[in-house]
Amino acid sequence: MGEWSFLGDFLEKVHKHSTVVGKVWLTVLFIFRMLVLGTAAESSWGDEQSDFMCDTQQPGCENVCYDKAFPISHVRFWVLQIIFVSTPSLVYMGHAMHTVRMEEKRKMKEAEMEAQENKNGGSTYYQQKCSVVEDTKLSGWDEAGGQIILRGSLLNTYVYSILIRTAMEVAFIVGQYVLYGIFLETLYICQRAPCPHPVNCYVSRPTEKNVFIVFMLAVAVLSLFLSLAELYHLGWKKAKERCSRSYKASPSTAPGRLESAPQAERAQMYTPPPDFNQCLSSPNGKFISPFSNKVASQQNTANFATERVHGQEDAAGEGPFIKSRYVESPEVASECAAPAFPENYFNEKRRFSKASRASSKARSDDLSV
Amino acid sequence: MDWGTLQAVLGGVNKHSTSIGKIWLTVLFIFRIMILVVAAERVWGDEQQDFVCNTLQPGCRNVCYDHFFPISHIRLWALQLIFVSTPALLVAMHVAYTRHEKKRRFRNGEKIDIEELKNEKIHIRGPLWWTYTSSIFFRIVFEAVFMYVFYYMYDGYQMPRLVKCSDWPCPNTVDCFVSRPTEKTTFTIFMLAVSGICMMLNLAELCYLVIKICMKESRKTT
Repeated sequence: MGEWSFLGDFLEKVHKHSTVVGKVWLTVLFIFRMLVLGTAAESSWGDEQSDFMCDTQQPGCENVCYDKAFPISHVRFWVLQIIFVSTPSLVYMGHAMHTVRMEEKRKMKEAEMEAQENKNGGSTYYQQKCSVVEDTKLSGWDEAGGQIILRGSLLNTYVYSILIRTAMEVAFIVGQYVLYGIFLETLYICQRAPCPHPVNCYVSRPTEKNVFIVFMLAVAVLSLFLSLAELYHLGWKKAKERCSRSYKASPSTAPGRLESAPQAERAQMYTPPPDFNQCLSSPNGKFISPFSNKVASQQNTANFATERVHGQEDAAGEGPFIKSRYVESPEVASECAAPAFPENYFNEKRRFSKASRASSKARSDDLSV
Repeated sequence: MDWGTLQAVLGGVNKHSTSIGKIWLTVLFIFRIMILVVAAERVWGDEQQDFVCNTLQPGCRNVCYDHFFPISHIRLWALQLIFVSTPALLVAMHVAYTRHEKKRRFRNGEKIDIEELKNEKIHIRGPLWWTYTSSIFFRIVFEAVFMYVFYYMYDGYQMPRLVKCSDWPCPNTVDCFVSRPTEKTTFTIFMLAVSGICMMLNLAELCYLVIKICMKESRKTT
């Protein structure tokens, strides 16, 4: 089993970043294939050539008959099978490690930018943070958990690796059937030079070998089944995600609205003025869009009424926010274009907007969400 | 053969390699060293015992085996793997020397960035770039040389089933039969294919490094 440690060490790392079914598959691989092969099967096939007896005195006839009967020994075939079946997981692990490295680089960049912005003063701070946050979503790295989340390109790699793994399993199972059939016969009749005539050759330990052949075949079929189950599980998850995404997207017109909770919290962290937070965040902390069509028209009517009634009144932070809320503007498309204005700036803007209170058109200096 | 020592040494080099270098190392360990240890050694295990000659003349079999297999495939592959891994040790030595120099300068009172010292990643720049590139070049050369040696020594990459031998003390041309020729051919071709892949990876890494440095130089001049 020590000889398998080269592969074993690599697969341990894959184990960390797999789904539950993936972990079961790896365990099956380690215990039922590698361990059994290394300990039991090797010793069973140990004397396969020395005890391969042919009913002939012709020198060389046994050699050639053994070579014809077993072009590649079962054990070596299974070794190749295990290696080829594990290889796609290694490719996935390479991608995962790459993702981790990109994440670390991103964090370093973030820290650098933070340091830089603290010196310069944060005008572009928010935009940069948000663009970086967008990349996180695509990469599939959960900062809080330190775990890799299967998302985007990483999920695609994972799915492809499972597909290739499945194809390899099938290829090797079919290959084994083509080479040897399912069971090993005790007697093998051989006709090949220099054997003078068809010669009876007797295989060593056929029953024991058959037991192991059936066992390894069963484990291969089980691994195949686990791979298919994992594909189904991932496919179902992806379809579910897509359905929920399309459902969430329909009421909202602002694109790119589907942030997950950590991202929403992150976005909230980046908005210095507390008023802004009050406006945007819903009680449960989710970053939902206030700019739906239905809500907009309702707000419109309400705000016209409010404007007429209140006039010059300075509501404590409510005035300008109501005005900006109903604005269904193209600038709103960017979820991250929320600059950090100081408090008195709002007051000035309020006065300006009251002068043109009849208009509900978007103004470039309106707060966009 | 104990390959664990080589793994321990090369594991350290892995940290300072490019991505392609890391892939190369993985391919080396899983597709070459592991296959050699787990599978190929068993296949070639009984190569002399089951080398059968159609003669009763004592000594004829020994002489014929020696004539046709001056050095066994297994030993040749082991040598190939050692030679191909050795240039990476040059890189490891250079990195160790660089770090030692930094520590010495730090002790002498120079202002060194402690974070960088602690952080083990050393970028492939300057003299290290030359060491790294020459190590890749030597790797490619060794791979090619060994692939040629295999071809020259065994007249191609296929293991014959029957060899005819007339060396002394064999009284006449004697038929000798090689053990497991098909399986041996399969593994020879497999190892050859993986050597080819490793060579491609090394070439790609070399090109990547050269292009990177050229781009840097052009950026500096513009």
